[in-house]
Amino acid sequence: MASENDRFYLWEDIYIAPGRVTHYLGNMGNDWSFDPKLRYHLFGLFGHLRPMGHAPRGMNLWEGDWKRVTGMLTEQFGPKAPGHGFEAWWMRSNVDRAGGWDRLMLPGPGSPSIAEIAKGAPRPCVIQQIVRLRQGARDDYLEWFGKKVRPAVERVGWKPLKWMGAIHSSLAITLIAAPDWSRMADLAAAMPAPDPAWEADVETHAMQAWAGCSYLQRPLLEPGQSPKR
Amino acid sequence: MATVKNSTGKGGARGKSSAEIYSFWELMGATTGPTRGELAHRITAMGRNGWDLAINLASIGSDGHWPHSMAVFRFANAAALEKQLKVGFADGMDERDLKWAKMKLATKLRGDLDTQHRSWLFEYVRFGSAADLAAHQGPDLLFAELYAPWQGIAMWGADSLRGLMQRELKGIGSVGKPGVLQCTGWWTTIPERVLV
Repeated sequence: MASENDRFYLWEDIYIAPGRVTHYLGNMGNDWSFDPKLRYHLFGLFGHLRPMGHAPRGMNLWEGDWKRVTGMLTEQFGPKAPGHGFEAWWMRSNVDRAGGWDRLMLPGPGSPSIAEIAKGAPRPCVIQQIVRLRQGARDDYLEWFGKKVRPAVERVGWKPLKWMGAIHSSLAITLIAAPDWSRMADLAAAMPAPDPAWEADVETHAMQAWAGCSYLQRPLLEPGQSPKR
Repeated sequence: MATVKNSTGKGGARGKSSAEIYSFWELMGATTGPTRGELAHRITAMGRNGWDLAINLASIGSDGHWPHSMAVFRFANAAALEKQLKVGFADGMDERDLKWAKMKLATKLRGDLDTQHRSWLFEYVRFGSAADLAAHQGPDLLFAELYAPWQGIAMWGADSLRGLMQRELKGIGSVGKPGVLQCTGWWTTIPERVLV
């Protein structure tokens, strides 16, 4: 049975204001505007790069659990304004972003935690795929990704950071990362094709991680610790 | 005026580091912001930042978004793409007042830009497999997405909008063709003057 301490993810796609990507990443990554006891990992902050994506666009990925995330949301949407500067931060940040769309995501089988990822080399260069699937195919896709895609791309120097399924739709999101962009063509050649029966409709983005991302820090920061500037 | 530049012909080799890679852009402007002429100018200006522009098109609002422009940039090989990615966010693009932008990377399966062609039916297509996409017959140019090669871009060209109409009347486009699971297409053209 699922527990309120189970790991899950907030994935956020952010409509960044023109010319504000770098400012957005720093402003978002250096702030926590809720009760410090609720703090969970800001896994990573990413900006899309022009050759492939939606620039200017950002992505935030938070790794938490049901208990703390629901606590944060209760502060945000409860009867009393949070006493930790959230509303001031929100207003101040409107110069950086205009809106976005988010999803609550569960990790696919074998998808590593931030602590597991932090044992390897930092990988700031990320290929993200948003995969819309036939109803009922999401879990098969995620299982296939862990069993087939993961080893195939690792053989050419890339490493999957995440494979996740949206809780309320037939949507999967995957992140594959490398220390640099030198093996883009190798990745393309190595990636297995999904089962056509899943009707995978894929959007692919090239993203660069903000240097202060938690998942890039060695040793890994605890939630609440400030990243390196 | 926009130009059409041909490739060196190293297409159709997804995953080979020597193959050309194309970046397909959509830019959504605004009548109260960057219009089609301004979008074309911003696209052309990327040449100063090291981008190799193959074609610069205005979308036809009667069959697509407006004011909206498309561009196709070419990377000679994977190393050229890597060089651009390493530039990061400061790539020189003027993003002011754009409503949205969308970019895809693809390799060419077949065809070449005909420099006589100034108007194009532009399509995003999805097939069940990369082999099905590669077997698609009819488009003048066919591209496969770099990381989802069962999806692609099909282009059908003509010397003018009138010529494109005549091709349409004879029957072009991927809708309903064997193996096509999804298709979205719209008309584009190289404007003959600076547009509002």
